[in-house]
Amino acid sequence: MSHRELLGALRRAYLRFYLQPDVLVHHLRKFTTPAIARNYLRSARIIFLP
Amino acid sequence: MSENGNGCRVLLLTPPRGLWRGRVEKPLLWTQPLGLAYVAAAVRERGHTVAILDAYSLGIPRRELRRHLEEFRPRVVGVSALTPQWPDAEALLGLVKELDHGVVTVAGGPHVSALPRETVAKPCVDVVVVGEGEAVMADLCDAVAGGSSLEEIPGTFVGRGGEVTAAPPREKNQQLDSVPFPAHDLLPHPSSYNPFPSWGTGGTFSSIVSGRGCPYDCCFCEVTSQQGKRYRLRSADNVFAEMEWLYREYGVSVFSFRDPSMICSRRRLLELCEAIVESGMKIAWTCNARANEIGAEKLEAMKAAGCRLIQYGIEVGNAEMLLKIKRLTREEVAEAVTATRRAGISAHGYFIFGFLEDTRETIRETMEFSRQLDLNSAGFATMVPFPGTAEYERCRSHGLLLTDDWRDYSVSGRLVYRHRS
Repeated sequence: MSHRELLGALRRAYLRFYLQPDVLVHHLRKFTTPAIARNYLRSARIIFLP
Repeated sequence: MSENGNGCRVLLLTPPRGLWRGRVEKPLLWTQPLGLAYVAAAVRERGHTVAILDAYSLGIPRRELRRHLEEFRPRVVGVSALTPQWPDAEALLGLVKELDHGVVTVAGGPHVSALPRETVAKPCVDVVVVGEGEAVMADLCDAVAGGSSLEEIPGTFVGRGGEVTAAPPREKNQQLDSVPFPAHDLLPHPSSYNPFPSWGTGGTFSSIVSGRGCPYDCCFCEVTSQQGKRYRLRSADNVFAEMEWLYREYGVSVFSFRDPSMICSRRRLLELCEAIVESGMKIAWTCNARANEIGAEKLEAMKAAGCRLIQYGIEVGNAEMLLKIKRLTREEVAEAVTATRRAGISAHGYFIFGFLEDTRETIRETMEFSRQLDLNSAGFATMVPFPGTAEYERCRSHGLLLTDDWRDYSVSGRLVYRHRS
């Protein structure tokens, strides 16, 4: 499996778990600031952010 | 900072992120470097003058580091680093040597403990401390202050002129209650730290460690190789005393237990929870736990004592892999998560994609399992074979490692090994 495939799997896992990006961002915002939530996701290469 | 005429001046640092490339960045999330704070307390107890510069958390650039070093004039500099931080640590130790070649430079932490010979062969590193650093570093500073040889101190690798001297390993401390509390007074105030959201928010935060070692020896985790295969636990009284001290002295009201499984001893957990309840402290805390060690009695006590989130390392969804990697069954995991939610505590699951056994099908099973469980939240990461883990040795022995550029050994870095499927 390539890195690209694994990152794709990560992205799908987050999407499937949280159902949609907004829910994930909302979940993270409960814990932190929107800016940190965005960067947190970017650092994890979650690239579907709105 | 303590002062003593016979001691030496010791500066302990975390490496600032990006120092290797000359552009330091402040991280988005950062927590107390507890390892250094433990070492600082032990070294200070021997009468040495100790300071900690948490250059990682503070994002201290090179010129500021230089100023700190010139002002403090240490005789010993210790740096602790995780694997992806090692290039920054090397740059930092290089700067120390550039300013004063006579300073004794010491590297510690899980990365160098796994690769002591390679590390001590670097010209900027004089000594590598392997494993837990408190007693080793204290002995080392005594030796520097007394002008005696550094080469016989158990738990060290010493490099000199291309020669490496490996001292015998250090016996692990079985009496953790005898270890002084971390020197929080030498760190920035706990309120200035910004932990991972899932570790705890909503108050002044501190990490805490209630024990060391882990018998489960998971292939992706370096805890067993660093801390041994036995749980070594602090007593409930000792852990509670540290929590109360942090609460009263620093206003810490949110704790995150960083042990692999702080719930492993039923008696100790119940004693600790009872002490917290009786104290009347208004605190919240999170912890890691193994799914096979949790139960209704523990959960009830934890909830009453302020536990609001338990983080379970689940890692995979395939039943065979789960048993092999975590020695857990899917039923144990599901029961633990359900019981946690029933007790009114949130449950977080950690999952890893990309074990060597993983296929597209098993990754799909992991995704499905994460959704079937009644988790409040989940985190997914790619597998990184960190030095010191069985997975690293397996990748290395099969010629699967793609790079030894440690900057890439991070869950958000590029893939560092060739996956077989």
